[in-house]
Amino acid sequence: MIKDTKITLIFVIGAFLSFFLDGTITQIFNLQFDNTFLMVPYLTIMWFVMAVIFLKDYDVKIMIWSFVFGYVYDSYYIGIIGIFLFIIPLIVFLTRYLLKVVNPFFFSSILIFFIDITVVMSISYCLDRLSKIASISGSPFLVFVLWPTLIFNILIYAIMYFPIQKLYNFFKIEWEN
Amino acid sequence: MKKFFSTKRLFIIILIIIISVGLIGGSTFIRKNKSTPLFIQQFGNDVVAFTSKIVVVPTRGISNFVKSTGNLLNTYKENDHLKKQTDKLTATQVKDEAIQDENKKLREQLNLTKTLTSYNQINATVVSRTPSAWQRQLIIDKGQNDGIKKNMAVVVNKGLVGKIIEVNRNNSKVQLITDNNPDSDKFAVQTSNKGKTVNGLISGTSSSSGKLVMGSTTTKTSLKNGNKVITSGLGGITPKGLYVGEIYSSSKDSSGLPSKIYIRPAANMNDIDVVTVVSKNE
Repeated sequence: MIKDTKITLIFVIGAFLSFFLDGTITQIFNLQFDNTFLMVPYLTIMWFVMAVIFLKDYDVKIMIWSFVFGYVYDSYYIGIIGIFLFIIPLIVFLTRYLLKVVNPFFFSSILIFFIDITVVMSISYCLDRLSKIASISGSPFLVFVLWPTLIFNILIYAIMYFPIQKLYNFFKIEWEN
Repeated sequence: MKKFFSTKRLFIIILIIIISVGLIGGSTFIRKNKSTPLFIQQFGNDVVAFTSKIVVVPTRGISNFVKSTGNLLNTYKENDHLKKQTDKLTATQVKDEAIQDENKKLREQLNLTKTLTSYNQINATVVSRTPSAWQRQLIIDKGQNDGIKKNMAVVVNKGLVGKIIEVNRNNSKVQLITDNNPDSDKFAVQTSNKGKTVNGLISGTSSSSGKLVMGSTTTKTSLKNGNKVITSGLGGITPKGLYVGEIYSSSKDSSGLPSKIYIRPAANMNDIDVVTVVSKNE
């Protein structure tokens, strides 16, 4: 484990940016096709998954930050605390577990991200049904929300994978020199 | 798999589920019954809302640029159309002023200073929107400090869009009328056909067509498509006369009552930049 405050700083700033972009993208770009197909950006989740993959050997305390951002996400966006507060740490845990089984190359990490987003959406759907936030039933959720969201997020993941890898590598090398 | 669910891990998982359900229940209760969230939550939201400007301002700049370029292409056509409307508008405006003046005098004579239709306005900008498929919520940049209170109605220039559900110091959350939350308070609306008024509640959205559904109606008055629907001012919080939309279709159930009336909302719920929070004069 390598301790590096610069990498931690970049991780936290990036997490904040992706957190705000989640809301701004939903607000500015109308991510709804034909009034039926809905896409939800999960950039915060993407940032955490990538951090787990790229900062495997670094001591960044991603787990603790995931609780912080989970709380902020619930409080600022949803208004009910207890949903993303546990989903984001669960994703960090799940991704770490999957990394023991799979080697994180580009395509295999897309598969990891695919599983993560499916877990996020399913759990948040169940909890939202429980707290009466969501009122759509199971099959419309699968057809009109889950699939478009998966496609949208995986596209963004595929686009952002190499730039973010470069970003981390850039600061890693600088530190070694 | 046997290793994955060890006793310690199972214990932690169950503990987390219990805490999660407890927190959800607690915060749902607070949100429903208290006018403002807990101090810690409020403080956190205020800090986050303030920091969000770093991202929101540049993104809005770019989006405005794209939008205005798009608008430029339509300008000629729109100008032609608008010229025709302006003539009509001036006539209506003059008439409106005269009527308002008359109304005011009549009210004074009757000692009726506050009626259902009078209200105050607070303008606000939309900062963010909840990234969720079923939660239709906006976050606006005005809060307690600007006099916003829970349950106030929110309109854009075309019509009603929602109501305030959470108030922090410098930001608040708006729940759109298209949100299908069965727990939230409903808007009392009315429409009329040939002088007969039909009262009802907006009970949600039909998921297939995106139209609002007006339920809880009690009359047999037949309604025509295209009739205007406005808030009725019943219930005491929303002022009377806020435009909601027009009737798209109404279906009768077997007993002859118009069971469900579908309303085409006047405001575009997916493209809201600036809103006006409306509070009743007190």
